[in-house]
Amino acid sequence: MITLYRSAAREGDHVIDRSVIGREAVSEAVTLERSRLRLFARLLGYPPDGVHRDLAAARAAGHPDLLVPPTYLAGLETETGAIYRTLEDVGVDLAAVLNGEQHFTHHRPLHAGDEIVFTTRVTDVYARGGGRLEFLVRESAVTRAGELVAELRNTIVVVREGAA
Amino acid sequence: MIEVGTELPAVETGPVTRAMLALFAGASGDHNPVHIDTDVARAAGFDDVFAHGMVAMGYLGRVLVAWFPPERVRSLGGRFRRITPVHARPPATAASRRSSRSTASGGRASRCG
Repeated sequence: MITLYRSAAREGDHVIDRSVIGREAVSEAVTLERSRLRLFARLLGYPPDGVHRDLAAARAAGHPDLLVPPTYLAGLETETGAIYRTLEDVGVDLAAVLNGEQHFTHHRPLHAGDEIVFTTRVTDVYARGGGRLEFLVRESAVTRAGELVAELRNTIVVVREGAA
Repeated sequence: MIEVGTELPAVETGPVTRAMLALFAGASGDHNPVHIDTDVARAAGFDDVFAHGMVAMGYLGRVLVAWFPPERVRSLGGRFRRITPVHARPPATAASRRSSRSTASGGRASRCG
């Protein structure tokens, strides 16, 4: 196993302060950009003539603009940074965490040009492996004009110094 | 129609390249330098940069939207079990393990290389 987080914490200490549970952050409004969505879809190998990359194809299928891929929102939520500033406040080195788990629930299709807001809350922090691994769970509600359009759940993994 | 045991067609993936990961950082919004800067990756104990977890899950998303009407995929998720190294072409496959009128589940994107 790889040492990802060089913590000076002693045995029995927690790297992540439990008081972070319940903290909430609201992002600025973010516009879903057509060119970025197209690049995201291209890098993942979505068909060039499909509704995620081709505007004419999207409109022919009844969409107002490019359709957002089902896995797109996670990175965007990270980029808004709101919750990450909170994590840095409690001593988590963000260059040294791994993505553990990610879930998406979609309530409404999203398209390029939509403006969305992420409201993200830390819902759990727990340890495994005798404290060697710590997990932080955060959940985001994604809204468009106040309407809930998607929900995200992410778990990041922090591995402590001395990991064998 | 999907039934238990139905295998969804695999999709073409990769190869994962450094250029792809640099662009994916910007496109996705995940700027963690461990995926794009070899110095950071090595300092963190890795041999090299490796793919964002959302690259592998992104491939699985493609499996779903290639099979179902893309706007009707209501939920998907996964646990990241291994890193996907540079040059990998991770096979993205899925088979239905449980199926009902409202849900169908099962899928795997595994490390290659």
